[in-house]
Amino acid sequence: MTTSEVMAYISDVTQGNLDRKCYLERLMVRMREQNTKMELFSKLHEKPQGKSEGALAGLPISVKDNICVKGFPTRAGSKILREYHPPFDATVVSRIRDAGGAFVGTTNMDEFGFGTFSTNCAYGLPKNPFDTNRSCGGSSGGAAGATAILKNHIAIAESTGGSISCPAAFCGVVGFTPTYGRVSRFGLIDYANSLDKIGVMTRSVEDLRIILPIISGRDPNDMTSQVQPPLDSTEKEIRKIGIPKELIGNITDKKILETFWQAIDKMRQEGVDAEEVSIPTLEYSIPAYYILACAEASTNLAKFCGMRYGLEGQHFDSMYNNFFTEVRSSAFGQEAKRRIMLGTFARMAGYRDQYYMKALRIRRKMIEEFERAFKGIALLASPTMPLLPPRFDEIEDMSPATVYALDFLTVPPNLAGLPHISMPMGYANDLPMGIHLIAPHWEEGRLLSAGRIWERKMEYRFPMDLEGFS
Amino acid sequence: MRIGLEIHVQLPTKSKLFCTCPNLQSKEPNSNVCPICLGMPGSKPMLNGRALELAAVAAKTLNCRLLDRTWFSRKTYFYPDLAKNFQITQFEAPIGVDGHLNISGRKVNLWRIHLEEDPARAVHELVPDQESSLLDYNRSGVPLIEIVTAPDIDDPAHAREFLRVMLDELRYVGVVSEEEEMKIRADANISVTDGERVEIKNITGLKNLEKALDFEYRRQNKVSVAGIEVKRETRGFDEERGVTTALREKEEEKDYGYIFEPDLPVYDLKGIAESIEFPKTTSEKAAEIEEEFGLPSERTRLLLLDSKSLGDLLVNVARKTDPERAFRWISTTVKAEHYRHTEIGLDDLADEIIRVVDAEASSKISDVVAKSAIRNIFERGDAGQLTEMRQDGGELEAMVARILDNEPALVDELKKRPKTVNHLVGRIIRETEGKFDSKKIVEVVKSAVEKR
Amino acid sequence: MEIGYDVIEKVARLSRLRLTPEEEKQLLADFQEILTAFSLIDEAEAECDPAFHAIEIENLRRDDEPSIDIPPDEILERMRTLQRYIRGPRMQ
Repeated sequence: MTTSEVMAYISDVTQGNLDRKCYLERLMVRMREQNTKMELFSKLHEKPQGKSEGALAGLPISVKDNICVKGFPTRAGSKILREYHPPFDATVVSRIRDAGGAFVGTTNMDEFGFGTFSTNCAYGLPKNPFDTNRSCGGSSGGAAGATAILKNHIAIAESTGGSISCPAAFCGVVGFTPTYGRVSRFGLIDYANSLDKIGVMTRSVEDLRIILPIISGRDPNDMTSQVQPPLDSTEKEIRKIGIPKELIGNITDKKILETFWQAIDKMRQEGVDAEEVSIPTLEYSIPAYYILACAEASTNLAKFCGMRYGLEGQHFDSMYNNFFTEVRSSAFGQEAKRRIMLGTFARMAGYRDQYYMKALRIRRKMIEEFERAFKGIALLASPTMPLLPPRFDEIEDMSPATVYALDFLTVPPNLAGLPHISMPMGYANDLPMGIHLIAPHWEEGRLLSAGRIWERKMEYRFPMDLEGFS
Repeated sequence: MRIGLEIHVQLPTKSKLFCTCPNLQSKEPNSNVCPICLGMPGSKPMLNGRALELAAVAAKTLNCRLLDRTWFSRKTYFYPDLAKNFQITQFEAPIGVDGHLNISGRKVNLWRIHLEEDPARAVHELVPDQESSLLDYNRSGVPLIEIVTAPDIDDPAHAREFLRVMLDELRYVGVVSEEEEMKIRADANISVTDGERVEIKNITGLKNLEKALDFEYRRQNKVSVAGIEVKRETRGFDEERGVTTALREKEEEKDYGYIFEPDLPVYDLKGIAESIEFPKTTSEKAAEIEEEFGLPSERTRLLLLDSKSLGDLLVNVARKTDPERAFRWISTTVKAEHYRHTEIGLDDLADEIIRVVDAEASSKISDVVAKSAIRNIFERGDAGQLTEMRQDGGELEAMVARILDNEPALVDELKKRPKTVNHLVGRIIRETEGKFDSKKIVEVVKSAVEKR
Repeated sequence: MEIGYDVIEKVARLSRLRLTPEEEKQLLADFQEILTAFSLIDEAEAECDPAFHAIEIENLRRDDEPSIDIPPDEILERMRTLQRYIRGPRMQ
């Protein structure tokens, strides 16, 4: 599948073959219907418009609930932002508007990004379109689910430790996470500022070529976006793939391993060689990531205290410390509290060197080892997740440490800020599995080229094709 | 007694430290605000390069060593005046360290100088129901430098003097504005005879600082004389009553959990400093002046500490006429008139001032005429007619003799109380319209009186 | 790493979170499990400098030019104010 349906849609709109407003109206009716059951969306827009010209003319675009949309409820999946209506658009949102995209609504997510299954969401429980008793993955669960059921749509999502790759794998869609600093974070409600990246979910790699140039690029409003070289999506030669033994060695699910090796074989048929590589510091990626992410998150979430925005109708009925404590204790979910406390602990005097500073050093070591591993290697590969999308009752029995450990395949490129992509690689018991490819900093082009090769060999299955045609 | 100070000074930038909101005094609350200084989710800080420069200038002026690499940190604590409930400040990498200032021969060491953002201003009086506090975020995000001294200050007067000189030095290089000097905030740590350290927080202005320290010194003495141990604590200063007061016990522990500010870069301060044009400090300028004109630098430095524009005028005038006389006139009459007429720029008056000083230096006019000429310059813009001085003392002696002959009572007065000679001198100056140098008049009168 | 209730209580205070006894018990267990798993990093040899970012970001500064892009009144609209001051909980 190398043609892009999204491209065809946009072309129809700009050429006047498609009545954009009619399409969108009908689409919203169907989406509202679906959402009562699927709960993929936090809030649907009343009347999406978009424009008739532009690189995204009239294309339905959903936005993860932690990306600010001016005047629209943007709540990061948390009760504490229940009444928050940002007074400004995130940079990616204004770029999409300028390009003619039609904002259709915000997608459900784990509160502030804290989660692997989108089960920590205050505004709904997104259901996996392949099996509604199972998780969409997280934290961008709603975005992945929406992409799995909507034709002619692109989801804007966000990843800190794997929040694009995981749900993309569980929902059988393409999830793309650019290099850290490639896409402006201005308007992104922060989880961990040195780890957050805005990315996208699509139904094909070709769709990425349309959206990436629009959302990428330096933004004066976000200093971390200002060191990037220009996005290079020209064709790259992909000769060799490296498979880190520290990753593949820790997977036990037979079906996932089998499908992965079959995928590697398919790539070999297209002239892409594969060999094992070793990146020893990967052993420490989970603790280093969680310590750093929680430390930063605990400071980012300090601002949520019932003042200025987020919750309306607050009675200031006690002294500030008590007031803040009451609001935070009643409005944050369990996982949020856990991560705030972990993060506060990790940067406390007496523990700061052992945890926070050590994690920062491990990050540098890991980046250096990745650089060495990429010598003579175009991309690194592994399965995206070590398990099939679990059932909700299975998730309830998992302890936090168990859940954190499941991220071991997605966390390393996220910690190192490397661009990565998850693409469907097969189906087991009708449930999707993803293959994960990682490129060096700024080499998004390699992922697009590899994706193009992959989509010659792989036909994706989608459980639904919602659209706005009569 | 040992005193250490933590001083907060606002920088005179046009915009705030991390956002483009104007850095202005505004009567209307919350009129210079934006999502960044209001701490709204999704906003990101952007460092004001001029603030970084000014901080580096301040550090250098106070003889600090600039760090090679500097960065920002988050200091997390919960308070309604803190927009994000963390302050972006500098923890392990301040702009400058190990500085010092010499105050009347006593050296005060400075541990560090760093950049940070100001919190909002809380107002408590307006609320009728006392239910809430009211916040004005105009001040939130204004750039501050924090200067931390070693406990090298000996007594309250020394503290006041230290602060005075430090502000003068910083004003000279453009880091502090004159309005800012009055609002400067300091925390003081004071311990009396190796006792426990007491911190007094949030003292505004030099006068209050001295008062607070005075009071605290007496309080600690009273306490230890009564046999009670001085408690280590944090106190506030009540301006109205002039006393330090115990602050309510805060149950929250002070653990700020500093982390690196991940929305901002690391700064190669060494490299950046190479492209900063560091303004000359008062000591450097005074040394230059001594080199060029031979005027002793300790004296000129005092003039520079007072006013940069007087210093610039001095150089201008000293180049065109006698440097000693230039210094004499500028540090006395010109200075006095300058402070009486602060709106008038000294540059415009330079030519006339040169004319007058030159005439006095070459004895063409008397000191009396020079003084009133300078007054005229400030009042009218020009020196006016410069009455020539009479060298010939004969006329003067005759006049003095005539007066003393006609007023024998005056002679007695002058003999009994020599200080009254000033009245007579003043009278003669008026009657001769400044034709004679005032020193000469005194000379003549004194010798005339002696002869009688 | 042994963690006791005193640490949990201190961290909760610093985080402005009030925990029920059950929550405290659960968090203590969570902390113990998580920190035990994380103690792995103690053996990691990482003598290098800390990496504050994944990519090198240096020296970026903004010009000192004042501007207001969003009218403050728009932002204050949804906030609780009194005579343009923003309301917050009591400080005294």
